[in-house]
Amino acid sequence: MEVSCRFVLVMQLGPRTLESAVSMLGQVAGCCGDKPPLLLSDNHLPYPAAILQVFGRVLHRRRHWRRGRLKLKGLKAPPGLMAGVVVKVRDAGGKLLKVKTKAIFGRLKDIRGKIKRLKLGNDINTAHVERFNGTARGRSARLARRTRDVSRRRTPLRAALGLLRDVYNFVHPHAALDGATPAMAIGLAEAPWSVRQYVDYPVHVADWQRMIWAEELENHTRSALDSPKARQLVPT
Amino acid sequence: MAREPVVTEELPLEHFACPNGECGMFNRFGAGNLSVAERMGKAKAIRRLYCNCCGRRFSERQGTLMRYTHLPAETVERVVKCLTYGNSIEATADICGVDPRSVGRILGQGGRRAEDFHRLQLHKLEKPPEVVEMDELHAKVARPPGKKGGRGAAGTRTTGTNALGTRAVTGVVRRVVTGFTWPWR
Repeated sequence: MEVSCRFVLVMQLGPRTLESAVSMLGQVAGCCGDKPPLLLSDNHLPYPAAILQVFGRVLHRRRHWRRGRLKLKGLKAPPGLMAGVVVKVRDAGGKLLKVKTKAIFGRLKDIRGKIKRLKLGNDINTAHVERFNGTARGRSARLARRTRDVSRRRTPLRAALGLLRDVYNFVHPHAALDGATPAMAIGLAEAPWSVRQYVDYPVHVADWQRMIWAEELENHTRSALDSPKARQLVPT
Repeated sequence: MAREPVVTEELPLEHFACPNGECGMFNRFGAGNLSVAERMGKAKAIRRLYCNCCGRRFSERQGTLMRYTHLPAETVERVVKCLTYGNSIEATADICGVDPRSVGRILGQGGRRAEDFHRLQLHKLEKPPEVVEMDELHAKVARPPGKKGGRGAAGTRTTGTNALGTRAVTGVVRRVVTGFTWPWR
């Protein structure tokens, strides 16, 4: 979710694995160009590796004293990448004891400064996306807790989530945006859409567009270590 | 005898674009390449548009949620509203007075269209996102009713020991596979 506009960028459906995290971050990277955004998350373990795989650059390690085996290449965060996590400390019974924040990429001071500057709080938090999770649970019968309306297959669940995301982004005004919709805040719409407008909006996608999107996603999710080496131009 | 066209709120032609992927005017709204070729439907209320760039004709409902549906637009709108306000398929069908299969069809078609719509909108973004929050939301995909396990259930003819053994193995495998993540609370 893009926090300052409350725009839902990606809803990835799947298990909580590294592949899902990489796929989600690849889609985020596809719409943020060269400059990586400030990433805030909870302490889900695959996130740091996924961030490095999507945004990272090749780290060339040096040998000491020019002896020994060549060190393997690694991944490092690009300059300007900032990511912070919220860590919940619990006791053995699962009771919450403390909430800590830490920066996994970038300086903690810079992250806090950016959060304060954008008026998103005083510290690293995931409050906005957690609030959206509550909204999603309320607006989709498949996500409600202790319900018998759960999905039996993944396809309808994905369809319901897609419909929910679009209506949330374009139709429902947001109280934190002074009655504007997230799409208006991010510059995709000039006024709140009605559901009838959404239903009547023609969406045309060609096969070559899908192929381009798939290729873009593959490029974004490919690690810098696996990408083909760029050839240096030979001066003539 | 031809029926008289029903005068409804018709959208201007700038609202539409050519859906032919090989056309030069593909997905260009308000390019001035479209004209009304004929009217279709029982009440002659659906326009068939003509693209003077590629010479193809297409329905004005192509690419919308109204495509291939015989339901009135108000009903489809109500179905979408009900689905996005937390109603189940059965509840939506009951409220809107349609068949549950129609609701499922609108949901499936709307989901596929929503993916395309979202991708197209993301490509229109002018300013890149500044702050992105990520989180996980637990949802359950249950097994279809006919395939549920347990003793005496239809479709599973295993003995109690076997079923228990399978469950135990599944538990171990799940624990190993998801071992590097925190359990969901």
